[in-house]
Amino acid sequence: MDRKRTTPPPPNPNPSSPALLVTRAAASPSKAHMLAFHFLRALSRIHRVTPVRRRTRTIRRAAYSSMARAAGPRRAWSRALLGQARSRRARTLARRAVLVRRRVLTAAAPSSPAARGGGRFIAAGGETSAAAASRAALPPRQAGEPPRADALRRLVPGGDAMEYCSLLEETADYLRSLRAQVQLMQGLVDLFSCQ
Amino acid sequence: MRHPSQPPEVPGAGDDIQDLIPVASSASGSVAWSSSKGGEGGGGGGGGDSGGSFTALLGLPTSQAMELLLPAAAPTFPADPQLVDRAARFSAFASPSPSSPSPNLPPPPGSSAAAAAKRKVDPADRASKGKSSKKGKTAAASGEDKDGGGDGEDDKPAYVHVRARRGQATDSHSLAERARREKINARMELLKDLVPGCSKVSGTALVLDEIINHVQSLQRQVEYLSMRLAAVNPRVDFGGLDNFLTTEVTWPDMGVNGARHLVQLQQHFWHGDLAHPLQPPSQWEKRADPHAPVFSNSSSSLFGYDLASSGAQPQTGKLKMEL
Repeated sequence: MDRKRTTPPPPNPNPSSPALLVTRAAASPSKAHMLAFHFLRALSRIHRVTPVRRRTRTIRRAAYSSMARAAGPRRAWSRALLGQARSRRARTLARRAVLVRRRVLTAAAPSSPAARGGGRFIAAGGETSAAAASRAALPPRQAGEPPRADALRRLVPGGDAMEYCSLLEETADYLRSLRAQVQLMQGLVDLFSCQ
Repeated sequence: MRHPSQPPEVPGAGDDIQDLIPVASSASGSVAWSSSKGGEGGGGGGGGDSGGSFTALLGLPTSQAMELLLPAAAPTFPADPQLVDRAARFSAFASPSPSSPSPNLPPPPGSSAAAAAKRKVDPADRASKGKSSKKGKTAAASGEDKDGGGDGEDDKPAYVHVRARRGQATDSHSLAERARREKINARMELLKDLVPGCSKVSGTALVLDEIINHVQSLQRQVEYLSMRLAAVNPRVDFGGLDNFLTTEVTWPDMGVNGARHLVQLQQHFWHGDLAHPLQPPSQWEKRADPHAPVFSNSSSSLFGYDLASSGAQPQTGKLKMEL
């Protein structure tokens, strides 16, 4: 993967030269910048919107999501992470919709919505259990891998469906990304605590 | 650089195909051809990578290009431009003896046309392997062996070339296993470099344990830091921080200057100084965008800062390209 860019961009005395800027920016913002961009944006939104009680969890999820976005869809772990986040969001939305519907319908007519709301809820729950079943029923072919590998599979997102060889590669990339994320967060915490 | 006395079809090994074009045009006798080639080469060379320039070169009929590039034009050569490209590079590899490309060239074109695309990897690799092998026996064994293995597994799109050492089994199964083991060992080496304190541990199981511990500790750190970030004073504006982050030198260097810049930035925010750009570091001033609302909470501030006039649009395009 690409390294973090260490040289600062040269000062541009003429801000209205788009060709120069575009050719310089064609060397793409580095992965660390992408990480910072996504994470800070998420952080500002969280501090605005989320109540204080549930912030830790949300910030942690935002950290993993920004890691996955910065890594790009070329990596299996980043795709798995973003897929997890998406399914979780869909599930909470579905559940919230079901509860709202249930509440609304119970106010209107008490008899039928219980069955319908219950059915919808069971369907939503069934979807997640089916997903879990499909996840568990997919043991990858493991030739000579050590028994400790399944612990690694649990740690690395999307590690269940990988062969041992690609698991190692994904672990390396995941480790690099995790380290960058930890450095970023540590820097932010230092910033805001050394007032 | 290239010697002008060398024939144009044999440049230095590893040179890009693009370089062939000016050499060819300078050394060629026919004026008309060279002028057209110069124009096409310039356009093709500027437009894309070596593949693109080579197809520009192939604006010429294939036989003429072959005359130029290969010392002995194989008559049964397929007109596939990519294969031609590979063969040209291949001739660049085998530069010392102009006769060596020819015996190796007929076997690949002799294969079926359907397998021509799959054999692309083969000639170049075989040449490089043949060139670099020391023992004749090893080279012969690995050559035959790759042939046997290659013909046997014709359904795979890419070949894995493994050197068969002396005294080792050379059937395709053990070769594949050996390749796999080598891949796994290479990846373990990478992981050992990444995980601190892992290089002195020997044995795969312990290394794996170390890796698992390291990943767990990093995940716990993320959890802990997110808890601390959740408790941060909400008055601080996070959206404008990314301006600072674009100009900061390195990530690991955040210790000394980083803290100073960070504190300055923070003070600016707390005093509500969001109207004008950050003054103290002079390079920020030069790069500051005076008219755009850089310090707004908008997410495009990071890259709207870099591409002053072009705004966030090409940047999101660039993000899409990256992702």
